[in-house]
Amino acid sequence: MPSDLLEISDLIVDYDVATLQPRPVSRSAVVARLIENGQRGAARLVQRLPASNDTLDFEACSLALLRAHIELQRLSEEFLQADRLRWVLLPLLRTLRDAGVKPPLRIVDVGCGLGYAVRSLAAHGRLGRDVELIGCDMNVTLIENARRLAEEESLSCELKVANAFQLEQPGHIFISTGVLHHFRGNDLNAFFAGQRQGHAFVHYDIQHSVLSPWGSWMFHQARMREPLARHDGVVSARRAHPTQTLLSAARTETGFSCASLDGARDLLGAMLRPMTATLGTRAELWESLLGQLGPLRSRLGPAR
Amino acid sequence: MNAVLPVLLALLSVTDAAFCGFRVAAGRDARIFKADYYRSAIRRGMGRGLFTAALVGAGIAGACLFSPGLFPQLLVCARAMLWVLLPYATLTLVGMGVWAAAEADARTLASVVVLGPFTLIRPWVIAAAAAVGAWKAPGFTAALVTLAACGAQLALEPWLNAGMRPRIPQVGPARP
Repeated sequence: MPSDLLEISDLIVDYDVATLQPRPVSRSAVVARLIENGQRGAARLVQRLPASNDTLDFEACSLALLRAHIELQRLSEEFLQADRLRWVLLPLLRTLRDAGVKPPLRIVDVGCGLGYAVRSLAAHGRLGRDVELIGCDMNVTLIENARRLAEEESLSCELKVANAFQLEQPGHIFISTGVLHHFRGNDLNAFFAGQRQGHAFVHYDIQHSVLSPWGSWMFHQARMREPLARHDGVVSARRAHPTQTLLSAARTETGFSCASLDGARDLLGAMLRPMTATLGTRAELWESLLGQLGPLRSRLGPAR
Repeated sequence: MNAVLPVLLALLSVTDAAFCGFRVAAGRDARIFKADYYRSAIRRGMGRGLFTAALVGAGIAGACLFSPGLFPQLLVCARAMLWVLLPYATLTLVGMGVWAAAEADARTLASVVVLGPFTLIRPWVIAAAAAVGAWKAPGFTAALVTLAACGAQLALEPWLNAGMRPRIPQVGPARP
């Protein structure tokens, strides 16, 4: 079973969903919640974050999150995460074009953080002129920085502070990286339910394996500097969902045909592919996708 | 043979410094196109590595002028240290080669099996080399010089790290 440990980054900043204004977060409440959950180390980290009158300093917490995401991008680069996404997106886009889906084909990155995936796909993806890349996140600071980064490099992608499932122009393909483990139970179901409007999804997350927390610890010690990132990286690996949980939620909530991609069947598999994808399309598109996948098809688990 | 061991150690030291230069820069810039940034970081590491190697080399040369028997003793230490350092360096370079040239899964394997863990154990490898070198040293001064040289190498990464900050475009409220 995945762990119910809490990630610090989920607790230290909060936004009003309607106004997108930051809401005050009580440091003592976060510390108490972490202690109650048996996470004394995490509680100590939060205790060290600056606060005035017990309200966590929003700027300082946002900066810590930003540093953590910049470091996280380095790991994504090392593990070729954008390339892995592109390899799946190319056949998915061909499938949608063959099915006559009207362009532009919108790829929406859910919980995009600093927008590494969409920026990298915009830079190197060669996905086609009929494709729009949109990154969505509720964290205002991350999106503001993601926009600046995209502007700086003249990358053709949109980055929005928005709910990815309530866009004016809904997405055709929903993607995410390292987001699924943040959702539990009904939230996971709601996450997939939001994607019924689309045609397909590809969600990468950490492989659920006994090796993952150890590997995550090692890489976060070796590559990350931000204490928050080191803590949350290991917790993320412990929170990773088993493939069956994801497939079951995805299938039930969307009605799509779904399968895991690069799901590890043994320890070597977990070392070769630390991330696994949950892939789904509308049922009528599935056979066509299988035909387009080429060598990737052998890396698909059984469809559900 | 007398010149080979010090030159080999100096080469290892500068190569290690180049890697340190890359490491302290990595994870600090979220741009997509940053080859120039990394090249400059590696050059910075190599520069400081060359400076450190030259400084240590000059110190050792000076010490050998005053103590003519010291150089052969240091060669004994260097040989002992290389038993620890060479396998580590060889595997690291092989890992780098695979990462640079192979397809995605092999690259990931190189990261998971070599590059990640070897980054983590680097200080311990240098410390082990220092301990082995000092242990094998025929004299106290040679042991001391060995420890000091390894200490200088260990200090390189914190030195390179000093003053490095993440490149943050701007923090503040965004348009909805």
